[in-house]
Amino acid sequence: MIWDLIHFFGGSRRIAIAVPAVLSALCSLGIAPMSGHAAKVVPEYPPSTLVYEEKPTLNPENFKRIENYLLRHERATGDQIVIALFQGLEGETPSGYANRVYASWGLGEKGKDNGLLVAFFLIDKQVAIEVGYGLEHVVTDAFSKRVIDTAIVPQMKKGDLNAAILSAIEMIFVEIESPVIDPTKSKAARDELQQLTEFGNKVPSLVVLFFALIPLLSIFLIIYRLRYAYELDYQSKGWRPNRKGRLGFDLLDIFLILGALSGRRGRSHHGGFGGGGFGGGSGGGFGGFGGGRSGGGGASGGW
Amino acid sequence: MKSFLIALGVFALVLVGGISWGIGVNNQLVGLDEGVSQSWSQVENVYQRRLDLIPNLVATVKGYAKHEAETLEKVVAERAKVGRVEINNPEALKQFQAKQGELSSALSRLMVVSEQYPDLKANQNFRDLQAQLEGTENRITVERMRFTEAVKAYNTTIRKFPASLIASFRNMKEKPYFDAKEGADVAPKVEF
Repeated sequence: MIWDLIHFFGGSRRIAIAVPAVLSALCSLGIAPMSGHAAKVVPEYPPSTLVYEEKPTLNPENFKRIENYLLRHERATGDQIVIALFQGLEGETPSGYANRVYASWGLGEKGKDNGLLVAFFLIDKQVAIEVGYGLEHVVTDAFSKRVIDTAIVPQMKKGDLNAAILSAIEMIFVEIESPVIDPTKSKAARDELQQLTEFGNKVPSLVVLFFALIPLLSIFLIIYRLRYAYELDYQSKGWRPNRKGRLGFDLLDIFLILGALSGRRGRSHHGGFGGGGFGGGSGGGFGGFGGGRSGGGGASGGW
Repeated sequence: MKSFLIALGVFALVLVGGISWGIGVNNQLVGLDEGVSQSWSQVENVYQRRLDLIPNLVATVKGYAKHEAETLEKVVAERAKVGRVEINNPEALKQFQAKQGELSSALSRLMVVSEQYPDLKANQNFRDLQAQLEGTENRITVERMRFTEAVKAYNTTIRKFPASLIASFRNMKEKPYFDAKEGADVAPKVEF
């Protein structure tokens, strides 16, 4: 449709560049549609949960259960798997819209791109799985299709949304194989660990003070020594400097100087708090998306 | 004498300012150019991915629909001879797009025909391949979109004044887009 307009204007390349540019600009303002037909708006994401509902559909305990599974997986592996329940497609294709939503929300950590979106379209009875670059080798397109065909579609045909979601999640988890809760994998867990060790940093300030004192003491000692570098020797004519004597500093002094110069003051100190204390899921919720990218992998299907 | 020195100083300042601005613009253009190259290599990647799926597809289909498999094989053999595409060359891009379009048509014809072979449709391997083809077509769409955005960013920056001065000085030309008249480029619709 747009290209018809362009050919109407004589196929000038100026128009070919200007029209999409203007439309894209308008699109970013949400005014004009991107393509010939109406586009569904990508919603702003509420950053505190991994389950999104365009309209409240699940009952609260099911919602909580699904959310907990996803959160636990996120803390264990850092993969940000999101379930999104949309209503209508409004003329878009499931995978096209899912791709836009994924790009806008930025699932998965930046660089790792370990995000996954399962988008249900309840009115149109479609579902799309969009996989981030980082998970593509594990959750292949063929596997996504299998999840849809075997886990989602049969349950949705029976009308059981909750069961569909749970069996899909389980199938995906098994495929990704998240074993032990490793606190360094998930960004939220790492942030927590960071906070705890920073607290640990404040406690052994005494040790830090000690390390700061050594250089200071060394400097004082050096000054003291240098003042008496020239040993006073009692000669017949009285006290006079002994030039042939010691240099004014010896091995001990060298060590002290080296200690002063080595800048041991700069080292950060990890307290003895380690990883204990936040193994349970109660400590804090979901920390937000990392801005990962998806290449359009995944699958879609309908019931 | 003094006013001459002042004038000289101002001139020198302006010159230095102009040069550093020019360098800045040049570097920005280089960055955008690299962005285009990068997104193009992604486009080539996903088209190659589709090409790589075909031998497996042919092997699977051969057991059920020998003739169709061989037809696809012939099409692929001709289209697969796509060398490195120079993306600054509009002709090369058109040719590349045409070849890929023919491959798309062949694939969609194969999918249509396979509807008539229920045994083939039930084959798990075939279903996996269909899913992978669908995924790859999605990927092609996404990467092409990103490529188009990269080219748009580059082209608009080059054409705007005063950056256009630097661009023509460096002999940077506008890059071609994919042709939007995509009749032959429709993704093979896979529906059960």
